[in-house]
Amino acid sequence: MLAAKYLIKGPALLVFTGLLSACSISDSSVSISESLESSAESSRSPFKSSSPKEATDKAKSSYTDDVANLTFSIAGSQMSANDFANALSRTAAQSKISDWAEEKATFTGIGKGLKRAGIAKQNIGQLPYLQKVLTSKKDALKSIEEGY
Amino acid sequence: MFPRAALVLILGLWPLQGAAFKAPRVEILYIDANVGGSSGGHVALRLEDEVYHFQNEQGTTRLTRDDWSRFRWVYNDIENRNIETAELQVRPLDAEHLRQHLGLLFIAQQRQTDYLKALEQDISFLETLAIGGQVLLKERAFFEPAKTPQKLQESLRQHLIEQTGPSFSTQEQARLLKTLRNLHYDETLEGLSFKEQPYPDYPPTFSEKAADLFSRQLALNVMDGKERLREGALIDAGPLPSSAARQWLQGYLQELQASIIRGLKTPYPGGGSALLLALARHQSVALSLTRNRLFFLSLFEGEPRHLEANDQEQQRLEALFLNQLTREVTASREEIFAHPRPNEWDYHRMEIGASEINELWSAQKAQRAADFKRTPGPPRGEGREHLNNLVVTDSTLEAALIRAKARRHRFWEWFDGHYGYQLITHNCVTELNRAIQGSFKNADERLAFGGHIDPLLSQSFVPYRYFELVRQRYRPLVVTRSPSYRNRQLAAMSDHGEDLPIALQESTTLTGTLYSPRPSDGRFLFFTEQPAWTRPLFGAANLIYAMAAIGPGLLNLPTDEGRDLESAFNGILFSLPEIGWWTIRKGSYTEAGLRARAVTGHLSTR
Repeated sequence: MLAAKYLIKGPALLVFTGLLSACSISDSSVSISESLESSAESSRSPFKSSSPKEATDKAKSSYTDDVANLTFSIAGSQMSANDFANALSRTAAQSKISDWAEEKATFTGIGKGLKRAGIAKQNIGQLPYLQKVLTSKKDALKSIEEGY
Repeated sequence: MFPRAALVLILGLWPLQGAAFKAPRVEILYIDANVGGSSGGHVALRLEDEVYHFQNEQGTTRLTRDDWSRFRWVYNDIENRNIETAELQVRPLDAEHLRQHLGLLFIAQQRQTDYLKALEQDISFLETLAIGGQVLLKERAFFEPAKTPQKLQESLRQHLIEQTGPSFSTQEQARLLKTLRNLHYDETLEGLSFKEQPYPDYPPTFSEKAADLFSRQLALNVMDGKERLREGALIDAGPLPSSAARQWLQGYLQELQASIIRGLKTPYPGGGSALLLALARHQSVALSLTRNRLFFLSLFEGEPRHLEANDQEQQRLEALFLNQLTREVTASREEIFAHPRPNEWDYHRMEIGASEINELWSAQKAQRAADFKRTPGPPRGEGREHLNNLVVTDSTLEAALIRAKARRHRFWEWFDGHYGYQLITHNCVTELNRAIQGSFKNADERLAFGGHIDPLLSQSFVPYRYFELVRQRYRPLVVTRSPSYRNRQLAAMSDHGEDLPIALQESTTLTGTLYSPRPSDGRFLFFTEQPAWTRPLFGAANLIYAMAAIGPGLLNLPTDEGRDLESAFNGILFSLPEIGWWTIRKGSYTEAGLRARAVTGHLSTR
């Protein structure tokens, strides 16, 4: 029924889209490193256009959001402490971070996610899936609470 | 008189109101068609400085998140496409819903894709074990057996002994060996749930567990001095520039040390890879401090792919670009070293800079095009290894392999059902549309955007048509156009007068200065974007020009693997719409070529 509607309404579009790909193809030959930035104003060099601090701040912000999303989505689950650490490790790798425990944004992100999930602040220390994270650093709980 | 309490309340709430009504940047982007990746056009959603869009990744619609500046650099400049932007009026709360929903989709799909790869890795692992071959392991290629005990790790080893005792390494090696010998393919994991859940909690697979255990064994061997960093994995990036650099590196060395000791003391599944990378970087930084030169792990591994022939013009541009890049990377390093607190992001940025310069050097030496492969993360150091300690009998292997293939197939069916690309029902437009709608209650964007676009009606699956519907139904505040790189340069040239001679010169690929022909764009003679009335005529000329290239393409077939012939056929294909007044082909650039153009004032020597 729907297909018939397309064919009646948009034959020209279908002919062309049949020939063409209507999606950007993910292709590594588009030669740009993900972490490189370029100016929104002109075709200047990625290295020139943004300071290392700006680039790091942007990357940190995305990473914090990813960790918050991860934490929010597993907050009510039975995930084990090891599996949560593993999930953090995978999420961190996407942001080019090899050691999530060394990065404060990890803990801030966890705090943000817990708050969004409605976990009470005083219960953070008892959450089973957080036990590995809490023992990873001295001030882990404090950093999580800061992000809460 | 106005009640005082009300006045206080209004004044008190004013700043809150200001924050609540700070308009978030929410834009729908339409990216013009061009030859190559998305010849039917493309759409994306910009949320502040992030752009979400779906790409076709080997038949899968994959949600991608890019920094806006990167997105624009790739699509507007390198791919030379015009971008149209519809700025939407969206409440901060609705923008937040979009951000959270797309963020969740992003990490969930990432996990599902990783899991599929891990299931495929299980099969190749088992197949390799069956023939007694070597399996591929991340970070293995960073290290090699040491003939003499290594001194570089001495201080690190001492720290570990202080914190864990002298027998830690021996006990840990014994534990790992026992675990590895007891490891078997778990055939009981049948009950994997494929139901929709925000973040899927998949268990580690057989190959992930084996690789992790091996990584830990290797890490202990490195700590014990039995393995050392392979110098071939390093790039020598020149002398240490300053005492600030030394101080920064010493600080980073301390951070790496803390990370390594933590990784050894409190292991978790999947942490082995991070541990090895930290060790490789630790040795690299220690070597830099010892030899007073900067050493980085290389990001670009293996043989470069053949992208396209490197003509003289491209070689000239890349030589200029190399000088410019070297200056920029040096400046960037100085800025990083001036920052008192070392961090992994900055260190990785330096790894990228060193790797890109190294790649340009190698490309020039070999007279090939530079191949900056995408780097989706830290250096990988993939290498092969015999997993002798994994004890698996032939009959067990056979059964495990059957089970692994079935498991992979089952997951693939689910995955393909969810994300499989289909031209009309599941493409970059329909999926973006669905993702937007899924961000709101009852999957309805009406309240947030003021209108509704059904993913399967009104030809909304076509990028251009979707954008038209966005303009009609979402009532954008403003629609703007960012001209492509070539169009911007043309406009800038026209600003300096002499419109007609410039227009004539730039209208062909043989005489234009703003574009160097690339085989991947297909053979063509005339640009047909503007003026539109020239399209049928120029399209016909392009068709003849491309057809004339078939003969030479056939002659070159034995030597160029059919690249010239492919270019001729591409030229023919994309000339046909031009005869019908429709232009797709606009020309494109390479990263190095475009960045070099910026150095030279955009003009070629032609």
